[in-house]
Amino acid sequence: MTLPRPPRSIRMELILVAWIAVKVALLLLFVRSQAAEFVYAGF
Amino acid sequence: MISFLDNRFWLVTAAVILVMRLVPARKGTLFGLVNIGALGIIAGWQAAAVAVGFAFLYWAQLAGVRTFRRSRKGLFATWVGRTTLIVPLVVFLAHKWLVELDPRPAAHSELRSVLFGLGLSYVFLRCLEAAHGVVWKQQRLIDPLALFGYLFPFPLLLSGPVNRYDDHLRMDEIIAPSDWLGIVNDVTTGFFYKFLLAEYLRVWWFGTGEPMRSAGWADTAVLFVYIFFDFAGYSRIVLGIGRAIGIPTPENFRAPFRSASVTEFFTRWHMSLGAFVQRNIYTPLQLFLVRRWGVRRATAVGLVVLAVAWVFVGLWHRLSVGFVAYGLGMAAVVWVEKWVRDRALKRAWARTRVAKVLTRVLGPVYVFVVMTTMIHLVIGEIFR
Repeated sequence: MTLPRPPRSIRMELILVAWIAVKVALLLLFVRSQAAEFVYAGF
Repeated sequence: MISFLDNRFWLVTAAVILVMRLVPARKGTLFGLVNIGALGIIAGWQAAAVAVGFAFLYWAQLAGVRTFRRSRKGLFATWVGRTTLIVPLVVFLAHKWLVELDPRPAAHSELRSVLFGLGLSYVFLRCLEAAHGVVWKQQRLIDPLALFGYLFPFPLLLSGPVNRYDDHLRMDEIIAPSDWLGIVNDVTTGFFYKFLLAEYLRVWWFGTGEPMRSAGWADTAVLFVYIFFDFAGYSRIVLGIGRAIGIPTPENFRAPFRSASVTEFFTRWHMSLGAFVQRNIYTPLQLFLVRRWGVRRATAVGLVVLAVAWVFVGLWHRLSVGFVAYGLGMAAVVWVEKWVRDRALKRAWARTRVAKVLTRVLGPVYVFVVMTTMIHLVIGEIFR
């Protein structure tokens, strides 16, 4: 069941936005690295 | 089959989200309708046609059997009811034979690719869940299009999770969540797990030129962590997509490596499968056997039910002797844990703060060692 989530405070929302930005930045770094050529060839 | 790394997947998903949120219609039926197009683009039109045909035929079977069982009672009616379980079982076994056991790997390659795109192992579980609900629990039978959407939801095709039939029944009443930040967090966390942590671990341990294989216990331990990030990441992406579209999508992982026992581990790892087994095999079989054998044979009932449930889980993963051994081994571990827990709870020292802290600290180490050892039994069948 898709459970409803409790409401977040503004502070928590900002932390979440920052965390999303960190994940996206790391993913982009990985995609541009040499390892990604090998890894993503399998998908 | 189009993967998460293909832009077309996300274009299709965006289109489905828009339709589901903007068109004022019954959500279950509407999703079934748009799912045909989504499935056609993502898994191929041949696969979509097979899936629609199967869902409509299965709907007709469920409707017919339900009507028949309302007018007739007795052993014959019971067996007519059981055909709703036997038909998906036969399809599942045929699919397993074709994918796993056929000694000619090149044979039926086109059929294999169609079946692979449909994720029939999960469809089989959804069929059992729907049949259990409609034929035995007298739940409402949704219309054929909605049933198609339940059995073959395009984001949940390859690796589940196992969505619940009664959740799907309530789909029309549930308002799709508008927590877009939470949805973006789900999808990005999933990508982070699946396409970064899992793959970085793979490259770090196995290198870029070597296939993933286990040459020893340490390799299996790394593969165990790899499977977690890969599968939990996939499940999290799907959870986010499900929330965005508004289709009931269960949570599949909840920090499993924090578990203090193997029993607890399976309430946190592939949770939707564990819950499915509990609802559709463990509890009904336990009730059936207790009625037949009586409560005085509760120990025997407990052992048989545990063994059946775990062998089912093993064989569902792969039809092999190794996975039967894995299932029986897991049943034995869970049984021993229950035995120890029942006795330990009677001791005063087990309730002390020190004992609780030690359990929380050493429990995860014990779980990791036991799980890695159990997976080591079958790792050669998973990574070949």
